[in-house]
Amino acid sequence: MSDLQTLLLEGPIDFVGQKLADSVTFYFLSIAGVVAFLVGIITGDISLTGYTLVLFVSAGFVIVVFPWPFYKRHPLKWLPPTIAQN
Amino acid sequence: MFSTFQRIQQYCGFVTTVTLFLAVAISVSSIIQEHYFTDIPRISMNLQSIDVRFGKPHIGYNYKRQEYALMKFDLEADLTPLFTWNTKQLFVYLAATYPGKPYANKVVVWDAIIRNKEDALLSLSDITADYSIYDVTGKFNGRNATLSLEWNAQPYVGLLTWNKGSERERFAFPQLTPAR
Repeated sequence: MSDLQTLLLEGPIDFVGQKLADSVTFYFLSIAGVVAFLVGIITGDISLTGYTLVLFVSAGFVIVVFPWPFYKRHPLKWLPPTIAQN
Repeated sequence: MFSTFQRIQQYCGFVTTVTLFLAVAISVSSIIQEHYFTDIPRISMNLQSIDVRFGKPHIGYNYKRQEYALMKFDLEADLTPLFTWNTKQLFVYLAATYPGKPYANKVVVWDAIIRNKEDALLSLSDITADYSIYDVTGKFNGRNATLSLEWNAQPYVGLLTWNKGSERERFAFPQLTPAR
């Protein structure tokens, strides 16, 4: 499998990056919900709530799901190989 | 959240949670708005004429010949306060209730579906009812009846609510008009 295929289909990111992705989903989507509600109740039009929610959800999908470089800032430090002692 | 697929799963799972919370918030806010911030709709109705005839109340199969009542009425109603941001449509109907054995009878005489706030200002004069009233016993016997305007507010998200106007129009079923 080529590097691009591995990148997109498996998309590995390091542990600090995973924590970041988790925080981003939680805060981004919570804010999306609040903003969508406020947009709807202020304008009195519930379709705008739906549209803002869809907008935020698609933007968040792009931010969270793809393995961007900022999720890979802290790669795992492997120990150097040790030679087996007889 | 190591792989792309795991992140898709986590993300979509949280999207459904947020959508659920949003739905609850929308329905609760529209219930609060409807009960505390809106005025009572103004209704005035007037029964112009009621005609009791003998025959088949509907064109169709297997209706037996019996007494049935046709009504003509005027209706003026301002139902705009019932439209919140969460109201999808308003199902409005005019119902006649009259006594019977063993339970009272309630018959819908006219109905309408209102989809916008602009259409919620009803001003109908001298219209015939959509549906005729016919009793299970086949006879009215001059019973007293009450006409009331009721509605069912159907929201985008939330529970259905039913309510009625306080205006009532009382009438009595007249005797059968003699056959011509």
